[in-house]
Amino acid sequence: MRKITTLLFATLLSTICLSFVQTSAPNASIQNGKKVYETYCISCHMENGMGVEGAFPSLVKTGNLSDKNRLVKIILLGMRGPLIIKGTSFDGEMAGIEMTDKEVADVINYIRNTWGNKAPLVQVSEIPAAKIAVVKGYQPY
Amino acid sequence: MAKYKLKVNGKMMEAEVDPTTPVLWVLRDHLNLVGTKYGCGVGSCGACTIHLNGKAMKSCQLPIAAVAAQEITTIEGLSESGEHPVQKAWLSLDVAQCGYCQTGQIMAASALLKSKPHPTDEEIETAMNGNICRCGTYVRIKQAIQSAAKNAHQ
Repeated sequence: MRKITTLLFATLLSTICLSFVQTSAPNASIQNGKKVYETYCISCHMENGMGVEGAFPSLVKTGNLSDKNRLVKIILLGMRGPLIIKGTSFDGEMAGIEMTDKEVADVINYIRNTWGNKAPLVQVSEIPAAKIAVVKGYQPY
Repeated sequence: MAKYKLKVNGKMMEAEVDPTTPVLWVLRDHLNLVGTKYGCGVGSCGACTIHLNGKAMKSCQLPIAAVAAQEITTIEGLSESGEHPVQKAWLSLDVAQCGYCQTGQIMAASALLKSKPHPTDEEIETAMNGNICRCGTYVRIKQAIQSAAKNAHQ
């Protein structure tokens, strides 16, 4: 009886531990996206995502990240201003960056789930369709 | 054209330029501060790195209108005598090979040490990611940053 109780207790403990690990571990795509961000994006959008007022737009708590097709195009093909974000006008340029589909998905997942942003995760398999999607008003670099 | 009063290396300077002119070209062509280098022109290589309010920033993509009265520091103003700990470490470890990128590298490294006086290897790699060295002197760059961090506090 004592053995059964010990076994039950051990099973219960490991189940609790495993469920804790699953819920608290950051998503692998978001984790890798942080590395991609630090490699390609950080020098203009800054470590805290705040950008530079009047020069590089902030990515913090913004609704401008909702269109994933637009984001894919901006990342890979760059963009040109003018654009207005939170009342501030930006008229700069961003060159496109050569990335794999996985890197694009990961960095989008990082940006859209950091600094107060929350969005569903983008899958790598969605990127090819996003590349050819028509995005209204988008101006490549 | 518009007239801008800029605080560069602790001195007030004036430039009359188009508001969209990148800071890099204001420094080089109008203020004759040619230590800051042109590399890719799209913020990808880091050769044009300066400090804006003490933070590393690529000047080739930064329009002058966005700077206003913020404090700009270039390689010429990092230290009067060229004896900033990062510059000293650069010399003692013979970091430069062709040397074209070193302005940007030194400015990025000095900004890192200002915010993180004892950076980990990972923090060094993250901070220096945007600065490319075509000669591949990355090992010496990292050693110099570690050395500067150590010597700055002795």
